[in-house]
Amino acid sequence: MVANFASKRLGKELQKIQSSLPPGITLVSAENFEEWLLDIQVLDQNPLYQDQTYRLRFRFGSSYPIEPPEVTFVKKGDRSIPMHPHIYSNGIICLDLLGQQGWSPVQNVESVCMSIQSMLTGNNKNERPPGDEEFVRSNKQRPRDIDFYYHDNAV
Amino acid sequence: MPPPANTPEFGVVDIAALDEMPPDVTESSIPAATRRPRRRLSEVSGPATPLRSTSPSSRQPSPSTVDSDPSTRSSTPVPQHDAPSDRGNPPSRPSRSGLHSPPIDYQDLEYVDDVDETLICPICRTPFHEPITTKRCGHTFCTGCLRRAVELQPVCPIDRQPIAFHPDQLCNPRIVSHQLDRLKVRCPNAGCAHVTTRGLIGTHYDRHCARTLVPCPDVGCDKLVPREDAASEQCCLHREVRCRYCDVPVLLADEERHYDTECRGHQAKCLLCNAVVIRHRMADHVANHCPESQTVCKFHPFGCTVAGTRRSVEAHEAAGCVYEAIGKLTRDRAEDRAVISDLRGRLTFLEQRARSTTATTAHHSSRSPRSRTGGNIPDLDLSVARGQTSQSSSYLQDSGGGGGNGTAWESPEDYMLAQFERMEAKIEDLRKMLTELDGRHSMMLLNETMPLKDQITELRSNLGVINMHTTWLMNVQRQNRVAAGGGGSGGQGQGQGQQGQRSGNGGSGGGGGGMAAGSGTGRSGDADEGREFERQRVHVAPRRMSGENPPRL
Repeated sequence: MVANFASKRLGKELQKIQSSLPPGITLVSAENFEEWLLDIQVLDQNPLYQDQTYRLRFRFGSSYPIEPPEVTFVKKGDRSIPMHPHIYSNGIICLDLLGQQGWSPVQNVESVCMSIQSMLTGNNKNERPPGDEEFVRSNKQRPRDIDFYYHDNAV
Repeated sequence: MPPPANTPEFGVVDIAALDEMPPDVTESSIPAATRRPRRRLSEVSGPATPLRSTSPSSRQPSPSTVDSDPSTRSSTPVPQHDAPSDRGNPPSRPSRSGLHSPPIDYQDLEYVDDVDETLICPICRTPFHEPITTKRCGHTFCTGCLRRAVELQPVCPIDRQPIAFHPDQLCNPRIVSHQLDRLKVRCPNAGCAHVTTRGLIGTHYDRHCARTLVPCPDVGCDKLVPREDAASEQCCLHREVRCRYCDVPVLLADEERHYDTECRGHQAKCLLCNAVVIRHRMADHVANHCPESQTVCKFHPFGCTVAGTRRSVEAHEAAGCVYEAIGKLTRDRAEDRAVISDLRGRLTFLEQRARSTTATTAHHSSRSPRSRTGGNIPDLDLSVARGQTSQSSSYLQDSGGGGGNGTAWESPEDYMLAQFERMEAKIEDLRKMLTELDGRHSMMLLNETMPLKDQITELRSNLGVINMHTTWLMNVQRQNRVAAGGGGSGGQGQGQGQQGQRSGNGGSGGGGGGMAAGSGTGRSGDADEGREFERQRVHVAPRRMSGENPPRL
C-alpha cells in the first residue's frame, strides 16, 4: 500500500516531467519507480560549470514523498562530479533539502533538480568540502544515513 | 428503523470529530429510503471497522458518501434503484468476518476532465481525498497525506509552520469538498463505463455497479466475485469446471473471461466468409482480415471513395489507387506548412528583436559614424521584408494544392533570412559601437571629474579652517564687547559681570547658582545682568571647543 503510494506519486511526476521540464534539466531514464537518472546543466556563465552536463541519480524509497529521495551525482563517461564545497567527490551532496529535516513532501524531482542547479549556479569556489578525501575513502554509508551538519546558509 | 448506523463509524475515525456538520442536518436531510440501504452498506463494511481504526487513513468509501453534500445526496437516484438491488444480490453475510468489497482507491480514480491545479494535493499530486486544512497557515492536503507527513515531521509541508495532527489545529474545508464532489470520474471497476460525480461514485460502486467485487454467494467460500455473477448464480462460483470447448479446467467465475479471451476450442464460423475462427477473435477477424467484410480504401482520408468488401478494396489498392500520389503530396504539404509556421515564428521573433534594438539605437545613430550604405533605416527594410512574406505566403496558399515546385517559394524565404542576417550583423556593429562610445564617455567623465573632486576637497578643508577662524574671532569680539558693556554700567556691575562669567565658566554649577549670586550682590540692573549672564552661558561651550588659549589674548 505504501509502496503503491510512492509509485502512484512518481507516476504523476513522470507524466509531468515527460511533458515539460525547466531548461537545463533533462530526463535520461526512468524505467521503474526506484531509480531515475536526470542530467542537469548550469545555464549561466559560471566558468566552473560552463558547457558541462552532470548526471543526477534519484533513488526513491517506498515512503517517498514522505521521506526524501536519495540524490547523488554519478560519474559516467563524460559526466563528472561538479566541483562544489558541498559536493563530495564520490557524488554525495550535502544539502539540507535532501535530509530528513529539510525535506518536505511537497518537494518533487523537478524542484530538487532546480535546487541543485541553483546551488551550483550560486557557487564560485572551486573546491571540495573539507575532509573530502578521507570521507570518500572511509564512507560506506548511504547518504541518508550520514549525519550531515548543515552549517552554511550562504550556498 | 434503528438510529443511524453510521454514527459509530464517525466515532472510530478521529478526524470525523472535525466534521462541522451538525448530526441532525446529516440525518434529517436524507430521505428515509436512502437511509435504509446505507444501513445495509454499513453491515457490508462493518467488519472493516477494526481495520479502519488501526490505519484510519484508509477510510472506506461509505463514510465519504455520508460526508458528501446533502443537496447532491438528496438528488441521487438511489430510491428508485435500491429496492431491486436489495433483492437482486443478497448482501454479504455478517458471519463471514473480514470479507468485503475492496474500498475505492480515491487516489487512483480517473477523472473525465482536467482537474484544476488548486484541487490537487501537493503531496500525492492527485485531487484531494478527504481534504483537510491547517488552521494556522491555511494549507490544504489529503487527510492521509498530511497524517503521514506530520508523523515524520510535525510541521506544515509547505511553509514549515509547526503543526500537530490534532482536530484543534485542522479544519474541514467544506467548499473544497463540494468542489471535489462535483468532479466527474469514471467508475474504477474494469468493464464499467459509468461516469458520475465523485460525490456519488461511492454509492455507485457500493450498491449498483455490476462489476464491483462482492463476497461469493456461497457462505462457505471466502472469495469475491463480480456482483452480476453473484446475482445470477446462487452457488459458489469458485469450483472448477471443464470448459465445454477446450476441456481446460476453469473456475466457474472465470468462465466468461475464459470464453472471451483464452478459449481456443470455442470456434465459430464467420457469417461473411464462412471461415472458421476462434470465437473471441471474431471481432478482430471481421475488422481486419475477413475478405468479405466492408471496408474502405486506405487512401480514404485523402479523398478516395472506393469502398466495398475487403477483397475488392485490396484489389483496387494493388492496382494502384490514384489518390496514392495525392496522399504523398498532402503529406508533403503538411510538412511544408510546418516549416512555414516555424519560419514565421522566427520571423516575428527577429522582427521584435530588431524593433526593440532599433528603438534603443535610434537616438544614438545620428551620432555614431555609419560606414555602411543602406543601413540607416532598418524599419524600412523590415516593412519591405514583411510585404514579401505576406506575398509569398499567399502565393503558397494558392499554389499549395497544385504541388509545390520548391525553388519558386524558397528564394523569398532565403532572401528574407539573408536580409535578417545582415540586419543582425548591423545591429551587432551598432551595439559594439555603442559600448565603445559608452566606455569612452565614462572614461572621459572620470578623467575630468577627478581633479574637480580634488579641488572640492581642498576647498572644503580651507572652508573648515576659515570657519574656525571666524568663530574664534567672533568670540574674541564678543568678549571685548562684554567687557566694554560691563565698564559702561558701572564698576559694581562689572564686578558682578565678572563673577557671573566665572560661575558660568565654572561649568556644571549652572544657571541657578550664577543667578542667585548675581541677584544677591547686585542692587541695580538685575534684569540686565541676568540677560548678560545667559548670553555668556550659551557661548561658553563653543569657545571651549575652538581652543582654550585664544580668549585672553
